[in-house]
Amino acid sequence: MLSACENDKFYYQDKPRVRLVGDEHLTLGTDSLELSFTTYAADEVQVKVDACIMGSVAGHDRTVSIEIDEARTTASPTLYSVPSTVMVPAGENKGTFFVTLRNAAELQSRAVTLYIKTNVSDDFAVGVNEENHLLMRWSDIIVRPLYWADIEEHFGAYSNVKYRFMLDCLVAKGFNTNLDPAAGLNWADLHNYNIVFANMLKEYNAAHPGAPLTDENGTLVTF
Amino acid sequence: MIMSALAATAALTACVDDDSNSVLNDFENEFGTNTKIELEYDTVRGGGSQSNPLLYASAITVGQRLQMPMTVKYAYPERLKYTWMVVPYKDGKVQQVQVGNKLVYVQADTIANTRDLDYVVDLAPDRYRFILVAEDPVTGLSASYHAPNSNQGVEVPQEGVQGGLYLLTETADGNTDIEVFTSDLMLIYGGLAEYKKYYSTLTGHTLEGKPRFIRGCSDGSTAKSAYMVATDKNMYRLNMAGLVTMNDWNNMFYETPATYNPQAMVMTNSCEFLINDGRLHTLYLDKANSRKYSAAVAGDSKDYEAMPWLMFTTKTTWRPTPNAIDADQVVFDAKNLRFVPYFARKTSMSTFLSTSGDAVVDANKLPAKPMAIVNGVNNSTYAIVKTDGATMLYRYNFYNRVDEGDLSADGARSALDISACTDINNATMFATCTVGPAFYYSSGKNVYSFSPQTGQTASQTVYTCEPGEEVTCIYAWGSMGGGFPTSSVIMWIATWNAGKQEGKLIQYEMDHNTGLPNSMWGPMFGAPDNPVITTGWGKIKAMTNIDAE
Repeated sequence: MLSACENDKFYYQDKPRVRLVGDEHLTLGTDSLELSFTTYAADEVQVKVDACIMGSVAGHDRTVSIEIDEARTTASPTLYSVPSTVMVPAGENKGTFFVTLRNAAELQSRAVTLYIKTNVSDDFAVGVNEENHLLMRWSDIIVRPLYWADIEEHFGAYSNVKYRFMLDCLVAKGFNTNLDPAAGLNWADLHNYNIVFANMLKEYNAAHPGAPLTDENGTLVTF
Repeated sequence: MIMSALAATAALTACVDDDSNSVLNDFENEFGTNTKIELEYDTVRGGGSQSNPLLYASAITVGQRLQMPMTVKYAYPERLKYTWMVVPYKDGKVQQVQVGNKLVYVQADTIANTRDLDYVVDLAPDRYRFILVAEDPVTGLSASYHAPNSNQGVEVPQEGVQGGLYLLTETADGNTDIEVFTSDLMLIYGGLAEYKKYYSTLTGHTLEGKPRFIRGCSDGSTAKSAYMVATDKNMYRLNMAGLVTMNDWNNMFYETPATYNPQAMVMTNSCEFLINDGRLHTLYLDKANSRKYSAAVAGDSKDYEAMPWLMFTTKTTWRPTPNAIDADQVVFDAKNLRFVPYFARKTSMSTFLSTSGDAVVDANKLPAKPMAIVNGVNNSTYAIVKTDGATMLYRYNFYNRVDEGDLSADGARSALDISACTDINNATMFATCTVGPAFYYSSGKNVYSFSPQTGQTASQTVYTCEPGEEVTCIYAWGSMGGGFPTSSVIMWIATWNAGKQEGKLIQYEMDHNTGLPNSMWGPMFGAPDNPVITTGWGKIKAMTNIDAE
């Protein structure tokens, strides 16, 4: 009996709580993530979130309550979808849900945020402060890559329109969007991309007769 | 007085007997002078002016016996000490290696201490120069003799490298083998030899599919040290050493084309150009690369469909014409019936200038799709076109000339009616050597030639098939030269006898000016037979010699 009392100190003693853990590829183990639609082919991304319990599994299904912190959310409701409840199945230690983040034209010039957090439910209290929320920030803003000078020999002078076109091509073809030579790309790799862009630009211009691709400076885009 | 006489006598004696190297004491005897040692290859003992084994050799093989009889002219030949050395040599200099943080010259190996060299080659694969040094230990005077004179030395190739004429043959079961032929007239390959079923013997298997073409290609560097073999099923990059497969179609591209249809491939201007299904792909070898072909080069303002033809040589670095066209490649666009240039490392094809009204031939608009396009004399371009009931030979020049709107190659003679050429309208095989104006053709029956510079209006017969025989391939080597005398005078005709199930290879020494057999170099080099005929081959469908493409 004395032994059993001593061992009890090692087990969770508090009431059941729940914390949020976002997709590790996006959050890198933190409580937030930043996402750019410039490297996505679709205009919608599903972010996986786990509602992880603190405490023991139960023999019955339990419900987690999710709420949006309006004060910390700048995205309009059309740009996201979040479930208000998540089920933790019987015998499981987490419930998984998806947050949908959407792209829009306005995001080419500004980033928006969505702040979700756990709320008290019949089954769970709120989890630890560090992990009871998840901040998501996303945009479709083009930023000139730091390595552009290293690839200018191939792709010419930078413009946002040109670079976005290149990224769109790479995403459409399923290629890596990182064109940094330091990442291991050689001359021939970049030359090949240049030819791909030239071909796709021809197709674009053919599909837009009288309106060839022109950048923000009024210059025709060429490869 | 006696003392004076003695002194005078001594002085006279000194003048006569003094054999120092002083300029004041030059003299000459039957052996030569005392101020200069002259070393030369002995053509009398060697067997002729062309008998020097290192004179034109681009390669020697391990186990090969090198005999170099030498002559020396010097007043005191009996005093001379000789040293034959061999040293790694390339790009006009002795090779250097890193030792610590310094570059030092590779030490030469001494291989003999005799005047004449009698040496069995025992060297690691590399490029070498042989040097004979003769030194008079009494005076310190020395001289040297170097061979070969070439800036690239002479190569000892990697083991398993067999030089010669590579024959792509179709096997009985519809696959592809490679056979190799060498002859005395080919000079640098060691004489007449036939390597039947060479590839399948080396590797234990044939290549899948029926033969399409074989060309010299790269191993990823700027050296032409591999073979590109295309069949109707796959394309292979085979290393020269052992014909090991380096890669095949499925890993030759950044993005493998949807349609497999390799039609032509040429390595020139440090680039491999490949036409697949009417589109041009490039692989630049003088830049860091992954040995993969690029995506298809984009068209200019129009889409293009390239015919299976590529230029061997588009420009020169030796006294180039100022403002010459300078294209890296030219293709024929069958969709728009025009020649289009491709400039170095561009993403798209380009165009020539608009054709002027007085141009004899219009490179921007042909009257019809050519039956064939071939590389002509001096790197001009011949197109054989059926138009208005006639068969015409149109000749263009895109090489080392300025584009001023007229790309005709030969003035009024740039357009010749060759309708009188026997069987020309049925021709499916063509061959040329850019050293001479003649072109050769065959429909499978016989081989004919036509030279646009002889004034002839009809073809001449080069070869008449025997009963039961059909021509399967014709090839003239040396379009880019090979650096040795016979590298631009040989043509081969391959035939197949279905009844005997046997291939025949007929080698001619040709005069490419007239398009007719001619024996000039053969007798000089101890290879007087013309033609040389060998049998027992497979069905030869393509040929190439990598040293003289």
